[in-house]
Amino acid sequence: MKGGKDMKRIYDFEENDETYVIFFEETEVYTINKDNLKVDGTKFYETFFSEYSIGDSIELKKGNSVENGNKLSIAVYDTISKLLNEIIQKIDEEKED
Amino acid sequence: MNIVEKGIKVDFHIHSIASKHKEESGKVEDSTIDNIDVLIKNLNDRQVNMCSISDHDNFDINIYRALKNQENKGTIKKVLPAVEFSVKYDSKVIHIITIFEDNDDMKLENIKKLIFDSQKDTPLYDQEKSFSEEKFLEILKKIDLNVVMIAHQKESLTSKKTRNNDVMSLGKEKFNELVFIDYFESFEFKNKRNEIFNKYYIENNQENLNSEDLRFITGSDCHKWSEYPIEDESFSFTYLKCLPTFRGLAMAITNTKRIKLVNSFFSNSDNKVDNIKISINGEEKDIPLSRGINAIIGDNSIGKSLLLHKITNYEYLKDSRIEKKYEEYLNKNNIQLSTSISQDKIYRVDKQGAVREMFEKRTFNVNGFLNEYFPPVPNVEKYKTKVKDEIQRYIQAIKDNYDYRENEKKVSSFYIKYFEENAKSLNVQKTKKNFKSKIQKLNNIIAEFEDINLKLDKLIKNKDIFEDDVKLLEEQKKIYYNLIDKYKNEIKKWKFENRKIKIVNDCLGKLSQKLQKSKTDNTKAIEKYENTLETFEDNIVNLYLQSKKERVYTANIINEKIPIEYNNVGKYRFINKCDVEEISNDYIIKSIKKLLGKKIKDINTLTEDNISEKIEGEDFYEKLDNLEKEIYKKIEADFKYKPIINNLEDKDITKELSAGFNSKIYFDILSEQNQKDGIYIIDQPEDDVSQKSIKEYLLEDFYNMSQNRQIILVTHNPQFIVNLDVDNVIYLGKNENNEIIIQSGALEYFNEDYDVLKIVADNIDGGISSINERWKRYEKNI
Repeated sequence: MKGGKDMKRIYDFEENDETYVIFFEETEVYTINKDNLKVDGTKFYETFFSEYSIGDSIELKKGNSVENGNKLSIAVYDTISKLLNEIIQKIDEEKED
Repeated sequence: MNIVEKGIKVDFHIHSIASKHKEESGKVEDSTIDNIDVLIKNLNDRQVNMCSISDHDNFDINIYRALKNQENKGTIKKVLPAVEFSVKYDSKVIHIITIFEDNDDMKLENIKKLIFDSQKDTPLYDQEKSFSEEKFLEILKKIDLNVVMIAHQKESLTSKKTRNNDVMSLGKEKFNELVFIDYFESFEFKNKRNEIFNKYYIENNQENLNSEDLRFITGSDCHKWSEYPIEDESFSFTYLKCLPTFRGLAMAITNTKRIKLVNSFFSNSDNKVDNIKISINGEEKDIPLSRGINAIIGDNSIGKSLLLHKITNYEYLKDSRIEKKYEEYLNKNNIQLSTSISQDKIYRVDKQGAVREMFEKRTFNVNGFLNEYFPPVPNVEKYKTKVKDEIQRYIQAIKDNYDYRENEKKVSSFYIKYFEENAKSLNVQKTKKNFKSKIQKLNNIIAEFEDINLKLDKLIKNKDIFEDDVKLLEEQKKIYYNLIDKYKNEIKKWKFENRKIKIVNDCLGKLSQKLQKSKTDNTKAIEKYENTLETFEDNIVNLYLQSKKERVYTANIINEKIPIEYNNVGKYRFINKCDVEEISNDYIIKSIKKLLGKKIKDINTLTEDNISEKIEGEDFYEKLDNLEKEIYKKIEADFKYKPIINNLEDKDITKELSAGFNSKIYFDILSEQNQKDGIYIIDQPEDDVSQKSIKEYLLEDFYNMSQNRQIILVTHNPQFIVNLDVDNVIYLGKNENNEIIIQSGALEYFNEDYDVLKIVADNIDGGISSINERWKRYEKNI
């Protein structure tokens, strides 16, 4: 899962009965339990940023399993997607400094 | 005079009419007592100081007395009785000039009777035209006077032909045997050029002989007094360093160092002391000092060291307590010393134990001594800088790893929340943008430029730098000043940005405070949640950025040898060398590990938990800063150039745990120093040196030194006095009334009150055996 020069990483956001699951190249890499909606920070870093290289981009695609009408699912997806984008933006800003 | 002031010119081989029985007609007929004035005039004209008439197997006491009568009238100071004996050894006849002591006139009168039949006008040979060895020894026994024997060796030792009556005519084996048993005190040659052939012979017969065994002097072998030799290319008189006495002759002729063909025994330097003026109980004494070696001897605590320190005005003692005791001792014994040697006349003073101390403390490159032999110290700043940069990298990596772990801890978890409605009030957020780190980086660049300019300034002020180069450096400086200005302007720009951010944030802050009052609880909850998200983001960003820093140090330095400067001097190599021989990754790791302690096997595993307690600091950061300083200190020490003296095989001989060996180095080098003038004063040079080493090298070193300078030393060692043949012995003792007495003179000196050799025999441990060993035949019963 090593990053390369200006690599684009595409993750898929899916849900099942108990969890929200994020896949990378069809492999489950991150889960959020629907019971508590806990985002584990350490796991989050390791999944998305331990191999991240400056210049890479990340896209979190909303999968088919996510019910369009489910506001909570949408909120979870939006939160994670927003986090990823803002973190990348902040890293890029630091780079510019 | 009781000391030798300069070498004396000698000739013990002059014939008279008394040799007529052996010489062809017309050769000695004019050399009669009636013509003694001719010989006297020629001897005085040639400035001969000590001489003998040595006729073939005959002795004319009247001619001897006529000549002796001239003692101290012109240049002649001593006339000794002598005979040139013809002695048969193994069927060959050799000629031996036998010089007798002149202390018993009555015994001299017997000589002729024992060897010559006046009526028959022929010697009393027991062999054909010669005496047998037995007869010869019997005659000497009957004469009963101390003798010095000089064997005939007119031809050079290397000559393929042997000359009749030369010792070498007995064959090389017999010759070497006679030399080995010290049968003769000396060998006589005439032609000056044979000196070099004889030396060559010794050099090539080292397995049988050493240079001390064979001693050569010249003799004129003059038959016609009117033609008494003029020094020219073929003949040169011999000079002996001795008092003009028989004992002086006997001592000088048995020591190669007292025999020369040029009168150059002493240095001509004006940096010398002629005498020590001392008053004991009101009695004024003048102790003459030789230009050569003056040895002060006497019992322990009699005041020998005191004498050295007092005459040098305690300049080299540097111990006020001992100085006070010395003064008390002088007062108690009613002694006044008025001689004072100014420092500008002194080459060096080594007080007791100074040599050992100098090597133990490695101070041999300070105070001037030996300093001149050490090469200039090379500049190692660039190597140090490279190493220090690496250490800085290491410390930074440990700090970054620490920061990473701290940031890791900050990355906590949060719970996603869903809010039905968004905040309807205005939500004001300050910007976190800040260019502080940018400014810091620019400041670092400026600091580097300023550092370069400081170094350029130092170079510009260096007096040895060429004027043209100063201009170039000034131009360089200007370039860096321009760059500094450029980066300062850049900083101004970023500082202005920061000020703008601050103004905006201040405004937003005030607005936020106002809005806070009108916010609903839901809005506040949403804001709090959004802040949580932002903090989460920031922590992830920080952890990410920290992860990109070098958190594991890998030494990365190109191996470079540290320059070693050396200078070969005689048997030694003077080196300026650092402890570290090359900068390398290995050196960096070892330097770090040394400070970290044994517990830490991998330098990258250093944490706030395992850092040594010895390293001080309020927190881990401060401890790391102090660790860096400690490693720097080690590096500074490692890169400090140390003076080392190696032998020519490049072995550091200053490391040898032998004070004796150190002394050898010291005196070897000192003896080679002949450019710096001045008196050398030393208290007990024999300290820490074995008797064997004293004999093997120390005496030679002191002898060499004495060629260039006056030496005043204190010693308890008999070899130093007897084998070195010191030029002046100064004895400090006490008389029967327990009063201090001082007696002095050359080794051979004696008068009605004292005899220097006896003083040495009586007062120096091992003195008598040294004298006997040194002097096998003469006065064994001292």
